[in-house]
Amino acid sequence: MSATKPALLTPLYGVTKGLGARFVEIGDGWLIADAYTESASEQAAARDRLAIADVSADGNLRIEGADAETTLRAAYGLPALAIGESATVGNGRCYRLRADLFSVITAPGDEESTAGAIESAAQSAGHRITVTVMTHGQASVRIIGPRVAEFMSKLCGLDFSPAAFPDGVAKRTSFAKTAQLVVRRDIGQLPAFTVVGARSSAAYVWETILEAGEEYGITPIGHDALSKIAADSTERGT
Amino acid sequence: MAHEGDTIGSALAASGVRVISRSFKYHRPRGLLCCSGHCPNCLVQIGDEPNVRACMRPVEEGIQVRSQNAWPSLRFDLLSLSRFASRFMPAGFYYKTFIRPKWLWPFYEHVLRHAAGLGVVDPKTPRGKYDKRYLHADIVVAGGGPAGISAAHAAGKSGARVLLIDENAELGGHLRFAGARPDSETAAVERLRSGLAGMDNVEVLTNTSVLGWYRKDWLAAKSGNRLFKVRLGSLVAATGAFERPLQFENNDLPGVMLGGAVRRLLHQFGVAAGRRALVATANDDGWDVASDLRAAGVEVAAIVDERPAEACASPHGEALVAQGVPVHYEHTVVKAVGGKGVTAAIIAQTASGDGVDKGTCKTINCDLLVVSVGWTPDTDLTHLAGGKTRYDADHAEMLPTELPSHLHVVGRAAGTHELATQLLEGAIAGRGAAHRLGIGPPPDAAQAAELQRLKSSEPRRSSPRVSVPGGMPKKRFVCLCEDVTEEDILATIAEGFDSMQLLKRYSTVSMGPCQGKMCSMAAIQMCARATERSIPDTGTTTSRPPATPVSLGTLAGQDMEPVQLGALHDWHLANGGKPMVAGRWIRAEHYGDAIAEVKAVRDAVGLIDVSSLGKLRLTGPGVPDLLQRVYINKWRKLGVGQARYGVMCNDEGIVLDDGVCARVGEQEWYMSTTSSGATGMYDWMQWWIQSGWGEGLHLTNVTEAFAAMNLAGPRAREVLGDLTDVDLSNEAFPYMGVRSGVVAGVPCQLLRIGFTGELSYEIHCPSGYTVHLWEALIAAGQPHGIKPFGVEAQRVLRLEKGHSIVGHDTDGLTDPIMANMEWAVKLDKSDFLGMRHLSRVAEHGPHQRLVGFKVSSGGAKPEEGMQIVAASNGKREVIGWITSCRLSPTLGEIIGLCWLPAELGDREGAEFTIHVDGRSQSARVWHGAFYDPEGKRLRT
Repeated sequence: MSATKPALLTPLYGVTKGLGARFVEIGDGWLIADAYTESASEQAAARDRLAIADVSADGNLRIEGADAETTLRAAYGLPALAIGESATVGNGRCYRLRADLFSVITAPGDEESTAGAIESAAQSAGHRITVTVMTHGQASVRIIGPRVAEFMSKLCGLDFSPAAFPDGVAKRTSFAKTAQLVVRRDIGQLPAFTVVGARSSAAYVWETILEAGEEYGITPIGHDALSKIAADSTERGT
Repeated sequence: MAHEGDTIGSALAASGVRVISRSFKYHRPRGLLCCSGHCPNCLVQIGDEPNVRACMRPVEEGIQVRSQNAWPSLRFDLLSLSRFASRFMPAGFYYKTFIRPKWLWPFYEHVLRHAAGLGVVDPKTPRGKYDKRYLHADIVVAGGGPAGISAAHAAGKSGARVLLIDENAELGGHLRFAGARPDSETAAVERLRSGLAGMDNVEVLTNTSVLGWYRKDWLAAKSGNRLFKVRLGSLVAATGAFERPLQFENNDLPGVMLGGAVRRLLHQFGVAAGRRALVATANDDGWDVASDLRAAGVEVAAIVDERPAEACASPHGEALVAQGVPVHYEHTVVKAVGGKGVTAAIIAQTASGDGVDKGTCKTINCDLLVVSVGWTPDTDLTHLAGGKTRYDADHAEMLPTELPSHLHVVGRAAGTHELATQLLEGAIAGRGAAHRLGIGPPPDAAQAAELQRLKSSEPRRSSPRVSVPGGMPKKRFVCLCEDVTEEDILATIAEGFDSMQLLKRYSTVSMGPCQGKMCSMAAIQMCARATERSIPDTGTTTSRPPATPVSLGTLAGQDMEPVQLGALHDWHLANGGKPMVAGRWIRAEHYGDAIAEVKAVRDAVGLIDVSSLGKLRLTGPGVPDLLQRVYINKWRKLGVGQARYGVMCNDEGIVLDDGVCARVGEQEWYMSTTSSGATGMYDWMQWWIQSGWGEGLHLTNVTEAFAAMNLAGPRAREVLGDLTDVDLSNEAFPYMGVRSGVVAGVPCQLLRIGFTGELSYEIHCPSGYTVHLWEALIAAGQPHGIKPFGVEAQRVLRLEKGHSIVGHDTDGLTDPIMANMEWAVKLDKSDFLGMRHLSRVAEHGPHQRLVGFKVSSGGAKPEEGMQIVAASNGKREVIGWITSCRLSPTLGEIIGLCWLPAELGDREGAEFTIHVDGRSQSARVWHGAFYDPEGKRLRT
């Protein structure tokens, strides 16, 4: 019997390793790019130009069923959401994708407990829903920068202006000719989108973003820089 | 010597270069004509990029500019001798001349391609960098002249999201090269332009050309190598107008230039286009040019104005006359004189109609002949966006009449030439376009009335004259792109091609790079005159996108070809796996020796990555009901812990997909599909679920969430047993069983199934653990001689078992009965998709059969796709084809699957003939598996 602790590799492990990433273990044991160069310069790239980060270790749940909304309301006080809108649930954020389908994105490692809580709520209420942990099947990349909306319009036909695509909204769309869920989650005042799609397309999508982002000076950044930008925005109360 | 900001055209003009290109057919010398990127006269080759308009392309350090369509050189082009054969090359001559004898066409083609045409495309040119961007706007204003600026400003002020597109580097339209204007006019435009810069809701794209309008809310534009796809609510077409050439003898000589071109060179680049100019005009614009030239120190030899003196209202008139510039009223130019450039012009007094009084001809020496006789509104975009135009005889221009509500046309494109009127028209259109979308107030009614008054009082700017008689009509060029002369047009009409569409196709007028911008109005007028019809009755040609030439690379955009990579992709590459394309997936074909991989599976153990298989999770009480309907076989009695092979058909009984479905819980099932079928089967079943099948059923595509690998071979149990606590004994975990368990510390789903005919475990794990689990299995298998095996070995192994692959051995016409899966078709079920068709096939029998075959001893291996033939009435006829064929390393024989007529395929041992590379190869029908037909090994 093997005693080795299983390594969890994101779909972008090989790509980020090839770019010289140093790795850190987060969540359930995911190895994620921590930094490629200096954290400070990576933070500057995100603030001043355009940055891309692998956030595939984020937990990802899919909740399906006619009772899903009622269950989420009972478990987390979820407000009424239109399709594409989102609200906070526990440590994650819940997006309504269809009348009977929700996606919950959690902090790395929180998905199993969140799934358990939702299933318990459903069981208590006698609701029939299906909760599936999709973390392993998804690749998530975060794209951050002052001109990120303009950049996104190179790879996707959606209108990314704040009026048409406000913070906290998710849309299922074609992005770089692949099916993706595009989520707008700004970091304070810094506009940012997360592109969530099939694991197998991750390397292709990443390379396509890097190529399209050349003119914006796109820079891969690691978990450390991303965390510090987020912490900084929280400290500033934005 | 070029200066910063110069175009190639302006730099050449400044250096005194007059001949820039040679014409398409007669190789006549051509020089700058329009300087606005519309005519074909300055097309050059830059590096490996053909057909670049020199007048528009900025000069760059080290740029390599070559002439096109000249041999041996631009200056001494021997191909220009073709002019002596011009009498044998009337319009349409090639339609009649080169059709016989047919076998000589390759020769004709070679010669014609050498003698005619434009630049050279180098097929070895590396792919350039192209991309695209999507834009969204309430209102797009196409054209950044005064009317466009005013429209964008008004719409922006109303609160609309505005996109202003202009093909030039700076906004301003004709004002950029219009010379000195009254301060009040300049200030008004400047105020609007700077107002735009302060509006967050207005985006300005310069150096960008609109390509076309598609449907009602979709516009394409390009800038360099970038394509823009724009979604919009309303369009304001402020596309301006092209200055109209005049047809007189030698009107294509270098040195004959349009007035606007001369002013562009003068005011934008500080270049005088000649030393001694003659200005032929029919409006006050020509006088403006003469005044500008004079101010720049160019001698004005004469102003030749078609109009009588009393019709001239130019503010420069008195000054020019006072300065001694000769003016010839009611005269026009008859001929340009010169060889490789203008040296003189012959003028004559105008007579009734389009005629001239030949007795009044005078020769005036000049090296620049400026033509400024009128304007052709650029209505391409207007037409593409659904607008209609009609010839306005009073203004001698084709003007917009009926416009859909989403379209406004302003400025010169609408026949409005006075600046103040252009600004007012733009403002009203901008406000109106916004208001239509529910943004801002409507336009002021009083202003709209004032606009109508101003427009109706505008003087005519364009001459109704089509051409100037006298001299040779075969040297009066109508279409400069295709060298179509007035004589060609008249000959075409005389041959009966007297509608504009036929005239265009036969004579090729307007079919060149300028797409009719320079010539279509003249062709219409000539056609109308020759056929004695009105211009509206003559009609126009059809506007089609792109309105501006665009490279295919720009349309294609960034190179985006999605591929799917499994979690083990890097491992495969690092361990000698040869990548192969399987749909969008990249899989390992083999690791260097596919035969050794087959032997490892048969004799020891092998491991294959099958993560690309589709994987679906089904939950709910209604799952058995759905499976019973979508599969052709039975599912209601499948117990927890059991798996079953199933085939899905569409409602016509055609095989869609196959795979294994396992019941992993009371109300939870785990289905696999083919690699290419995952998304399609998910959508197919979701469609039926949404239609009401399967009570309380939820379907989730978990293809990407789980990786899968198949451990196959007689020693598979031993290898797996080292890594898991799951009881793998045949009794506890029989063939077609499914178990959950931990393998190498990873939570897995184990299915005792396989495609190879050996004891096999298909292990599914969360994708993030894939590399860990794979490496653990490889390590555990080392003492047992494990080998990773690829797609090629798997195909051999399954073929030895006689298994077909859906989509490879079957096609879009295959039903399961003909595909030898009759055993799976359960017609005693109450209903399932395809049942009605299959009931009929079962009753009458299939006409074809997918069967196994063995090639007779010593025969060559047929390739997949080869035909099976039979003699019939002394002829050989195709009766079937090979779908799979391999040399079996296990059996030492060539085996395969093929389609045969049912009466032949149903007879085991029947001999048939395969057509292999021109020879006949005999083979015999084989029923069942070639290897282990009783299936003992996989159940061991």
